[in-house]
Amino acid sequence: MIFWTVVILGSYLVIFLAIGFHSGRGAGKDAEAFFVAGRKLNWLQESMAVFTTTCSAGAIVGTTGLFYRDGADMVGYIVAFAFVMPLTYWYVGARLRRLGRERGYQTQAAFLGDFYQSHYLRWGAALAGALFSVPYFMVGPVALGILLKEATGFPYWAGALLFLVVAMLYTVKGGLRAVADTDIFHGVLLLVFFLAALVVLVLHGGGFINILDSTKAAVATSGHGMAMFYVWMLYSGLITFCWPDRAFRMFAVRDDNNMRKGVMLSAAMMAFAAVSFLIIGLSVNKILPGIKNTDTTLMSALSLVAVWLVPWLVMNTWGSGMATFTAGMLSTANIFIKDIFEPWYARRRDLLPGRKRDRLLVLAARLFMLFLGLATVLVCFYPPPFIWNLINVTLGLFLQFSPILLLGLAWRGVTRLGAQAAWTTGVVCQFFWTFLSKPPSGTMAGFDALAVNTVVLITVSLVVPENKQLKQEREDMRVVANGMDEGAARATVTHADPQCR
Amino acid sequence: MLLWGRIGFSVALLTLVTLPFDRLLNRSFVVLPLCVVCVTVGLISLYICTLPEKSQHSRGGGAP
Repeated sequence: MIFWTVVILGSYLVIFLAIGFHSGRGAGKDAEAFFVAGRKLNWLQESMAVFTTTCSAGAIVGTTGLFYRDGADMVGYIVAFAFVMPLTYWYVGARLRRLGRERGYQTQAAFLGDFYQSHYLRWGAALAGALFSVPYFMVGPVALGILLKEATGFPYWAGALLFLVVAMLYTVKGGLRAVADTDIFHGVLLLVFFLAALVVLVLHGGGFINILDSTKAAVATSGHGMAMFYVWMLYSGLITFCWPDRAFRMFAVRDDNNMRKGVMLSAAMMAFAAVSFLIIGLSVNKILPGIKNTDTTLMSALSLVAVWLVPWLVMNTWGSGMATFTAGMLSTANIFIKDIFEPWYARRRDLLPGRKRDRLLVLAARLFMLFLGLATVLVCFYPPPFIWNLINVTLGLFLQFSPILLLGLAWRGVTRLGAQAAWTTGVVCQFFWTFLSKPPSGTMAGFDALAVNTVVLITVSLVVPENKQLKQEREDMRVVANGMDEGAARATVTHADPQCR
Repeated sequence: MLLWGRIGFSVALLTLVTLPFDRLLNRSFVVLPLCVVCVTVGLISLYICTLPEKSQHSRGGGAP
């Protein structure tokens, strides 16, 4: 099996590089082509990108373990990806896509800064987006180097470096288009793998009737299990449109039609993956009960009953790791270059928009990604002890963007002060309930912080009045975001203002 | 169609969200098939809800 793992993974990486290099031709000519694929992503590229980034290596290895441990209590995770994610991603994504096209936004920080007329939110979101992403994607090569070593005996350092070199090569060369096209290839293989693993594990688990004959196949009716059932719905459902590595693609989609199809297809694929996790979890409970380290659930079960699937598991875990790593690296570079470097450098040098500035931005982005790659090498060989804790808080921290994005677009009453206070409170609560105290709900710190964040946003917005001009500017942006024409926009604004009656 | 989309989405979502309190549906042999059905209904309904409405002009076939 070691021979086949090396052959399959080697062929896979060669194909990845070929697709990446072929798709990435000419991406370095302008910054928009490099970061957001010229805003021409179609529904297949959009959906596969979101699917493969969300269905990360951590999800394949770790989430299947959670389904194994908690069974149907994880149905909240299925609800998150089949209902909450598509609803919110479509609502926010379609609006930010229109605004991005109209006003040139490529990141959420640029949108938030303009929408709330707040430098604090612009810089806060940019710095947070870049800093919170880094530990998450940097541990990818570490985890996958370890996985390859466990599966084949391949030296850890060689596996981590191989992962890093391949991922860096096509991302630095071709930007988002190269990443999106490799995601299509990987997404198809991942779906086939889930299907094969499902069939094999259900058959070895004694068939559907047998695997469903378990207390784990019903949802907990009280206690921690029921709490987690509800927490997962919001926790996983709201994260997709907040997390920069998957959310920045909403700025890259061609039009509303492609956006709609993309969101729906990614939701269908994620829902299929989540249902597969549940079936896999229930099946492995029958095949191999009592696994203590749940991260090894899928690997242990396949090694026992279908060893021929192990090379495909390793290959798909590497592919998902690459999708997350490359998206994380590209979105971090996008945030750093567009939100931090460009405003600072262009103002200092008085550079006007044009080909020269674009080439400079792409060069800066490539150099920044190389710097991130070198930093990742350091993390691979000298991992700081706190890095795993940082990854645990990453998800919760990104979740704190959801009220100011979602309520900001949906509710006219939201104010700048409310948004600033809410986001700051959410981030502070997240850190407090992660490192200093336990969250009051007893579930996840990010969930409790999100609740406080939302309450603060609504309360401050209702209590503290705001300048009318600020409100009007925000309303003008909502009109563009909603895709209304001028006449309809005026009518909406007139009816919305009670003083005009 | 939009109304049916909204009804379908709401019913599918509510069915899953209220599972811990539903003694009839929250059973070992029911939850998994129910998830598959609700997810399918929910996704199709949401797709219907997000379809653009036909404009007055295209409905009447007149000049834009």
